[in-house]
Amino acid sequence: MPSPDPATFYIVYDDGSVDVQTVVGDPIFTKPGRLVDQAEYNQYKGQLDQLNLIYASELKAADDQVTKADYDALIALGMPEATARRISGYTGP
Amino acid sequence: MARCGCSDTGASSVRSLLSADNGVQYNSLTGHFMADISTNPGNNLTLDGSGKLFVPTGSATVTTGPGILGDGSGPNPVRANVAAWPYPTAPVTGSQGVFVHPGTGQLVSPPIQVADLVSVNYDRTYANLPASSSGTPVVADTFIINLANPDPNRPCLVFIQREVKVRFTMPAGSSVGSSQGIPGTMDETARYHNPGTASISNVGILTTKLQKNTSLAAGAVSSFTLSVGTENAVGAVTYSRIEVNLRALYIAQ
Repeated sequence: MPSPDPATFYIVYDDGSVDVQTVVGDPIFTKPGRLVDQAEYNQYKGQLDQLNLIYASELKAADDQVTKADYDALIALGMPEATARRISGYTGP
Repeated sequence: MARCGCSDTGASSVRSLLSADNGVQYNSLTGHFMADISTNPGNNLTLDGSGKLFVPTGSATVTTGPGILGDGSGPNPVRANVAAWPYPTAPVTGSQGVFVHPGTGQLVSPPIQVADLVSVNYDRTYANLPASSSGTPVVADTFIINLANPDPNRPCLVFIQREVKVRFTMPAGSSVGSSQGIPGTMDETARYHNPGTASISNVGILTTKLQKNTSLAAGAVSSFTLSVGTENAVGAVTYSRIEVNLRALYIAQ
């Protein structure tokens, strides 16, 4: 007796998170939210992904500042540029 | 003087006038009539102890069809045509027999046992939330799988597979733990360190556990709730996505 095929549902929750749920039968709401179509889901999902991208970019900028400082310090010690780049991880100009 | 009124010609003369027909034996020397009992195989007509015709009880022969053996005679009774018991345990151990269907009158076996595997998959995205620095698990979100025993006749065992993947963005030098479990009993199933000098984003930590859940009565429904959390974050670690696949394996018994 095989189970019926599952269906996919798109949900936007009241706490701001979004969900793609694949389930047999009705969608399961573990917290308050509402069903939306895929286009509306993509809109909310894009906004959330953007937050993550911004944070990752901020971290990357901080990383770059540190590696640039390391690179500058190594150059100031008279180290050849190629070696200083390899040790510091600096890839900027 | 003969009582019949005819001339007395003697017993031998009378006997010579008599003869046997079907089913009767006649001995003209003794003048005895006897039943002429067939000696063909399968015959059950015989004489009882007092010399009377007699068919023993249960000795009426019958013709049987597929699945039935015997002809109903004494040495060859009617019986089911069954295979030898093929299992190592005695037939009474765990056997359920065959039954007469109340509607059709046919012999039927017990219903077959049912096994099934069902799942629900969640793919949730969050607003890049901070992972907890607590030394114990802090719930990030909760997930549910609805359970239903697919066998209407028997209880079933339920095995739950809990597959969880949490995606973290981690600054250089940070670390974080991923936890999952029944609400109130979560434990840290993975801990990840970023020992490098650069940040990493969307690191996926997938953990899976299999547990035997409670049994379900025939046709009963229930649900299983799983909490997923974070803990032991060092540094500004965030999580942006939690993917959970809950699978229930039902085995009727």
